Amino acid sequence: MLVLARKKNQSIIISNNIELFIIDINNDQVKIGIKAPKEIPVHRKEIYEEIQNEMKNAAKFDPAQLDDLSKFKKNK
Amino acid sequence: MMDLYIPRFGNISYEENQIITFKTGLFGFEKLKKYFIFKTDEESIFEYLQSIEDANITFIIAQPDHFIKDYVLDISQTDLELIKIKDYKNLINYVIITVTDKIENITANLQGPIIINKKTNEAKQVISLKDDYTTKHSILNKKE
Repeated sequence: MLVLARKKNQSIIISNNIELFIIDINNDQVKIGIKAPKEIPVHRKEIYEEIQNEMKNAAKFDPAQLDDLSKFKKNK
Repeated sequence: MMDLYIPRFGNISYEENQIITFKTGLFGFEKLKKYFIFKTDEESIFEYLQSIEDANITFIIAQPDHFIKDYVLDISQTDLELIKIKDYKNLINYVIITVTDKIENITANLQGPIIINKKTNEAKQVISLKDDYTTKHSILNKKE
């Protein structure tokens, strides 16, 4: 892993089109600004991982449970 | 018309115009881009999101309005632009359902909803900006 030391208000450019700005540093918290093309997804890692895990759980359903699911009917 | 053998369902057919493209895949399944939606019961609130590229990958999905009163889809404008939504009439919103060992534990992933442009069949799984929506929202209590 590449490690770069940066100060407040400095930035890092990745691949010409992504720029990370160090906006503020406060004890153990850093505020980072991200300038990237809109098709590049940017997420907080813990939320990203939580959704990923939940997707893995969701894909594992047992076909035997499908009958139970049929109890959920539309109200309309 | 094409047929796909789905291990948990048998042969299911779909049409070319039903193919939905997730350009960036689903979370955790980034390599799979092509899906279609099918249902086995018209009355049920549940439908299935099926990968065409890997027949083993099926998700149970539902439109959240069926089980959450006052459901709010709060997502970034960029996500809507990426699937080219100009008119909200073309937007369809689903959430992924998780069923574990017991049906009582059925939950909906409200934090990572799916949006589909029904005109272009482009779709994306997005992250909800509403911070009280979780990945494990129980739907059974709400229903009873």
